Amino acid sequence: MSAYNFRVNDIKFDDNTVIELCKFSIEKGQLAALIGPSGCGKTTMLNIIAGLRTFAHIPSKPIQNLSYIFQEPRLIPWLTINQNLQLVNPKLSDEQCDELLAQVDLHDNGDVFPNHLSGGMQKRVSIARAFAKPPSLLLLDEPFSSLDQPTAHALHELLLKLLEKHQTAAILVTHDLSEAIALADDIYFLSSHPMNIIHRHSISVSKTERTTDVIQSIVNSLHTNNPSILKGKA
Amino acid sequence: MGVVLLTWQLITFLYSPDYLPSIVEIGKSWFFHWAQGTLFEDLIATLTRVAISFFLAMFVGLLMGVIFGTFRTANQLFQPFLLFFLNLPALVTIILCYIWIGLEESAAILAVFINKLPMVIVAVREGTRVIDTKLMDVAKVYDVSLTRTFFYVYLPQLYPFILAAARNGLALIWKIVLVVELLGRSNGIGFGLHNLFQFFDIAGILAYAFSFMVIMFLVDFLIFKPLEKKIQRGRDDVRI
Repeated sequence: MSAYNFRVNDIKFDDNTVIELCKFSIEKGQLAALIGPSGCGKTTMLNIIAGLRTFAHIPSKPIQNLSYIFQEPRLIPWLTINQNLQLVNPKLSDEQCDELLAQVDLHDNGDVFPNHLSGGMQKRVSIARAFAKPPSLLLLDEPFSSLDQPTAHALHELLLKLLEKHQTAAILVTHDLSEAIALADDIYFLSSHPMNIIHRHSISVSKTERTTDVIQSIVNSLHTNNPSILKGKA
Repeated sequence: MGVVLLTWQLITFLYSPDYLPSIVEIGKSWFFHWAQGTLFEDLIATLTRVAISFFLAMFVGLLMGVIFGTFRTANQLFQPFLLFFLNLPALVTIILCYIWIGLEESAAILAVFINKLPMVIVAVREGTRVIDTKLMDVAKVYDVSLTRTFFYVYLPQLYPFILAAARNGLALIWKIVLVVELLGRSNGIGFGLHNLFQFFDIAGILAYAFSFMVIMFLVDFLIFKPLEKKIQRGRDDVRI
């Protein structure tokens, strides 16, 4: 029995089926990546899992200790960085906030407002916020898409470290295959209109050994074996 | 400001018109009424009425504005009433309150309250329309308690609207309070102005009016400006 089993089916908007069937499971400490063409319903899927969108036929069991890193940092603008963390976990002292921020390489920024931080720094804060109450399940909605390569890489490592430390299960939604390969244990390829899982690819290489070359070779082999898989076709 | 006062003094010095007292005369009149104690008493009476009706209208207006902004049916149900009260002349409300309730303090406060309430409701309701659901989702996902969500995520989004309503409201309220006092109270700036009017004491009228304007100016400078600064923190990229 896996730690988390998800089944989202028959999601319709205005009589158009957006998600036909999406069924997968994750173990503790593992990351599942959902990859598919834009507009295929990935974010809707995450929002359903998070309980932000409800449908009568999907049993909504609220997941305890869920964290969600959105596409934009979504920090509360009028709260300082520490207050943003304390909003999520009121028990955090200022010292604990500092420790948390240190983990994401942000020092002495607890008292500033989010708009005084760069996009990359705000993203780090949103990662710190996700771990302010160590989550058992973390949802990530293309969190690194707007960042430059070096920043994204640094945040990948940071995320893996935190997931490992807290044994958090995670679902990453992305359209970047290299990113999915760098982070995931399982990659689910999705079709669009309606959304289905068309292929599952497990990566056996340990996450610490996934260098740029290794990632590139996995990308190449996926492309050779399933040329149109990223376009949502099996 | 200084230039305006100087020009005023200069004009009255050169032409000494009958109906425009000089700044010095207004000053003398101010000291006279202040020394008598009537100006101070009237100021306190008016300020009390302004404060009570202001806070009542702001509190109830905020509550109703949030309700109307959140629940469509409530909004549709009360929209005609809101329009009615928005367009009801202040004078009519005042007279009717005095007739129905009597020449009492409660009637005076109620009249001002009724005049101000619809505007607060409308301002707050407009604010609820631009509530950022993305931030509300953050609170929901992270299981933030309802009270904390309201005070830290929801309400701060309304602050600019509340502040605007408060500022406009105060300016409106004190003008209405003067009319209320003129028509049916035996103290306050409005009552004082009524007495001075009977003696055609223009210097006195201006002294009374200026006293209150100075207080309202101070309220804006000492309360609203710092509040605005505090609210503005974190909201845009410009450091204040």
